[in-house]
Amino acid sequence: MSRIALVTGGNRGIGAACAEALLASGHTVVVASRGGTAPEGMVGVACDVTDTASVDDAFTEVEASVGPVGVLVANAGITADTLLMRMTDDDIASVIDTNLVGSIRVARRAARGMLKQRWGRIILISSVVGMTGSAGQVNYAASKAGLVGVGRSLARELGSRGITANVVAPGFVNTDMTAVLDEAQRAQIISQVPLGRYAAAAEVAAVVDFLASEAAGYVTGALVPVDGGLGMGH
Amino acid sequence: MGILEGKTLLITGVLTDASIAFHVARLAQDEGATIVLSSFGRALSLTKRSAGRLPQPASVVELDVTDEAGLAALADSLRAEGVTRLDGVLHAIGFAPTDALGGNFLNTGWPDVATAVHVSAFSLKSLAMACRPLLGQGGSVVGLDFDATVAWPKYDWMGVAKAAFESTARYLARDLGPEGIRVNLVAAGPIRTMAASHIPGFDEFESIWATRAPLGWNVADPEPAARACIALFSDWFPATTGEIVHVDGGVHSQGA
Repeated sequence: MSRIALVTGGNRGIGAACAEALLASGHTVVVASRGGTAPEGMVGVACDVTDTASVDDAFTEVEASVGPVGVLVANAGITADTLLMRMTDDDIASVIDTNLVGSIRVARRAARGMLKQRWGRIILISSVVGMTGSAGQVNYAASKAGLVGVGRSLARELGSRGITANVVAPGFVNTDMTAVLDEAQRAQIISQVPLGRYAAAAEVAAVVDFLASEAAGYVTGALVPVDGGLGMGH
Repeated sequence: MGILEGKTLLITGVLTDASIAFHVARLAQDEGATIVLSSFGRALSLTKRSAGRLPQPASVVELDVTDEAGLAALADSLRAEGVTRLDGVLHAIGFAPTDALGGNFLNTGWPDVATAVHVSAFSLKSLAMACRPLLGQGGSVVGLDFDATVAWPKYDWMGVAKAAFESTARYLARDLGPEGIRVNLVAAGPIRTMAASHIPGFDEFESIWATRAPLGWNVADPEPAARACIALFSDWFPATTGEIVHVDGGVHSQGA
């Protein structure tokens, strides 16, 4: 069934791939990003996940012009990588505020409409490093691990109203976020991946698309890795 | 030869290919009409995408029925798309803020009710008047209604707006009749469209229709409602105005 799907950070990377996959599955797709733009055929809305009022305005606009959001892909995320000794308070706070608290903000606002509809799909985009840890990414890994607690709590709170909440943990994907890594780093990572390669963003999006579907109606509180085997054992 | 051969229609309210208006547009083109779509704000991108899925290309003009300036400019926007005459216009527009639907009837404030009535009822007059310079003798205004003679679960202030909508159609029929313009509504049963997703508890309607419709009812099929619109746009209802045609499997005629 066609739903209204909202993807935060849906303007590029994994978010953009998710938006395309959901569109191809017949949903009406809203791309929420700071810039507020969207490709042809999707609705664009300006949304800053670090600002509750911005999140509220974005959802209100979507509800007024399109309808209540049934599928939320909380994907907006940033990195501020540096070894802990050099990590500033702002590095820590900004990453946690955007990635973790931002996802809580959008989930909180989206749940309102989902509860009324008695149907919803909340999909939180975590990361393999949330479970494995990653040197230089204390802030990022913390924010991504935190999403597991968010997803499972939402699954318990909202399950009786037909709303599922799941966490997808991508491994290394070719996007702007990983483009900053140098050749040596990339080779080192790939050597740890049983499948011996990076993921394409579409491969993560395919799992998100499944979780958003009617077929995934009994999957909730799950942590689904899409990491080529990198994070096995968690 | 289709029954709308040579006619030009303005079709509002096409959001996705599940929209009733989309099916009106599709059938209208199949029956030989030229159509222009209208949309507004954020929905524009969706309407353009849906326009690409019609049998023939159709241009999309921007129209917010609550915007006086836009309404005043509509006739010119249509002329800019090559429209010299309109034979019909489909009103497929409605909105009620979340607080005005879903079981909150006793607590809804006037501003939210005003919005619902403005967008869903008054807009019928606004749209008809905006199109009037291009509508001629034989012009047909068709609106999509939901039976407002009774109260429904959860529909709340949208139901009140539809009651106003039905009455507006009757008064418009009175005042535009002398110009040869007919104004009629199609009161459809519940259909799973984007608009329906605004109504919490839509499933209740589905159960009601399943038990009460003598002909049965398919909430996933907008075509019967769309066909009724096509009929009203055609020359086959020449002396009918101020009418409400029920396309609801017969529910309106049954007590239980």
